[in-house]
Amino acid sequence: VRRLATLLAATALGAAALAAAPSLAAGAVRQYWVAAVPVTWNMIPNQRDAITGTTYDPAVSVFGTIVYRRFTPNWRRPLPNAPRGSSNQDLIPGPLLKARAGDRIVVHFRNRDTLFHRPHSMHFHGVHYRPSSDGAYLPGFSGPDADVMPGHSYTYRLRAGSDSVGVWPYHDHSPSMDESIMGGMWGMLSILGRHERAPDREFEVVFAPMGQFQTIDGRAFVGNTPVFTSFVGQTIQWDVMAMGSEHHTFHVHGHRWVAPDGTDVDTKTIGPAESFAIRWREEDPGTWLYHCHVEAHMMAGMIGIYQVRRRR
Amino acid sequence: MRRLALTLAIAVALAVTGRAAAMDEGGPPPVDIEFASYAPPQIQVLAGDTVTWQNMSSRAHTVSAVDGTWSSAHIAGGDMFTHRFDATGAYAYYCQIHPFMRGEVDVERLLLNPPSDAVAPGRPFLLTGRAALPPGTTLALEEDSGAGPQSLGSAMVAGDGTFEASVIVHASGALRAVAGSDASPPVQVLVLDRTVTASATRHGRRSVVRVHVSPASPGSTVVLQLHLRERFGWWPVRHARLDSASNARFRLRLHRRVKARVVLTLRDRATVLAVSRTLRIGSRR
Repeated sequence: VRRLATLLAATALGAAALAAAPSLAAGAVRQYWVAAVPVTWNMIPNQRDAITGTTYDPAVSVFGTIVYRRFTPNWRRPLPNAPRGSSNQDLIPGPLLKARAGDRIVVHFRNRDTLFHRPHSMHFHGVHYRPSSDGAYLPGFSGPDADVMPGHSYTYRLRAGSDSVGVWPYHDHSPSMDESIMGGMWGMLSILGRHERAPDREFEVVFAPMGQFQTIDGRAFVGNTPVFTSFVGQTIQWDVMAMGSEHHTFHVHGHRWVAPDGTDVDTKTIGPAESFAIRWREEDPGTWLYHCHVEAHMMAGMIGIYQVRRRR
Repeated sequence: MRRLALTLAIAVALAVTGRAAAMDEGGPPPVDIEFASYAPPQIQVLAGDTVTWQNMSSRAHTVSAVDGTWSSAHIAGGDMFTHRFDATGAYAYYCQIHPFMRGEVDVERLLLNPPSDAVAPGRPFLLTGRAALPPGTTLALEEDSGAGPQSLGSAMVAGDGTFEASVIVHASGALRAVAGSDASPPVQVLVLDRTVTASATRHGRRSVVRVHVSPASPGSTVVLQLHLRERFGWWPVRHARLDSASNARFRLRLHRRVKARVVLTLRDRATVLAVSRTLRIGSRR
């Protein structure tokens, strides 16, 4: 079915400006309260790869790690990173930081690493900031933004420009960067154009290796990776990002979208710290696969399901 | 925190469960060469073992040491390759034709066979393994259930390199065999000694699952799992700590009727110690 007229490709290079969205006003100050917190993470909660029938022991799928978690102001109470009903998974990736072009984004970060007692930071791609909000450790040059010690906090001040529209990574760039990224300490910014309509559903897909597995949002194999859902007629947006040292190919079954060069595609390559957003208006009910099409990655867990239903 | 460290140590040492079962037959299981991967990608063998790779796919592959010290020729579909490993160490290998295909052979001097099933606390079970050590060598058997290594007894290496001993453990943890400076990678033993009783009531769309664990285990972790089609099996939806009376309660709203069960786990909320009967909860549409 050719339905490309209804498809939108919203990439980091430029998103179509549609009708104004009532929920987010332009030029606002977006405040986020985020902490680095310890969790016990299970990459395979159902303990199996259902496609091959292989079972995995918790000894190989469970580990202690540090993740970004959203909080109420002054870190009084933890909030779910993913709003209920969003289909996104909680804790990994970190909270989706939303804004519009022209907004100021203020991220209050606290290091609550009581597991490894390591320094941590937040480093943001795609937005404007002064060096004091870079969050990247460089001995002799960087400041407290890059090396937030356990029990301490730092406020990052960012600005979303007109060139910030799209989705972007953020991640730990402190001296603990390597261990943190391997443990899932990353998330995404999602920035709309000043008058751009927000999608009905926004799905986060982060490709990253973890232990012996290749994960999507820190989970491996169908059923464990996020089960994304939508209804026919909804505008859905996939926010895709890669972390680690490998390239991946994002593929969704039964769907196509228009690449920036105007060609029709159903697979898109992505490298470390790259990100893109893809939109379409959903028309195809069913249970579909989404996965990395690097075969070894798919077989090691980088695969999930996407369910589209008709409204009753 | 110590248990977490233990879990991590085991995670490094173990791969897919069930793989070790083949070691009971006396040698390492063959490695399948698939279309784009080795299965399993990582195996543990004993020094002196010969590993067999069998190409199950339709295209040719190689098995080649990353450090270049050994390699197969092209292995056509249906063909096999064998290589003997005499020295301990981790041997990384790859396919020269499809370099993204990676595997590893870990060569040890001592290997324990993981217990194939959970064991009961305080009751003897047979612990077996293999050693690349002279017959008659005495091995120390140890367990670590979170409080540090404890002696389980000893075993003697037989003429064929195997060893076995009847041991008793009281808590889930990791086992290993030690001889001088040599130690086996740890294997996990699961001790099941508790009974989980669960019952469900319904109030409109809200279901309440009540749990009791005996003998009393206040503070232990229980996890409510639902059997969900889209999750391809049992999926954890809630967790709780048992109160001082060893009880817990889960409340949830469901828009369909599903199978549910409660599992008693280690603090990782994943390593199962005991399982309740299966309930049906939720309302029909």
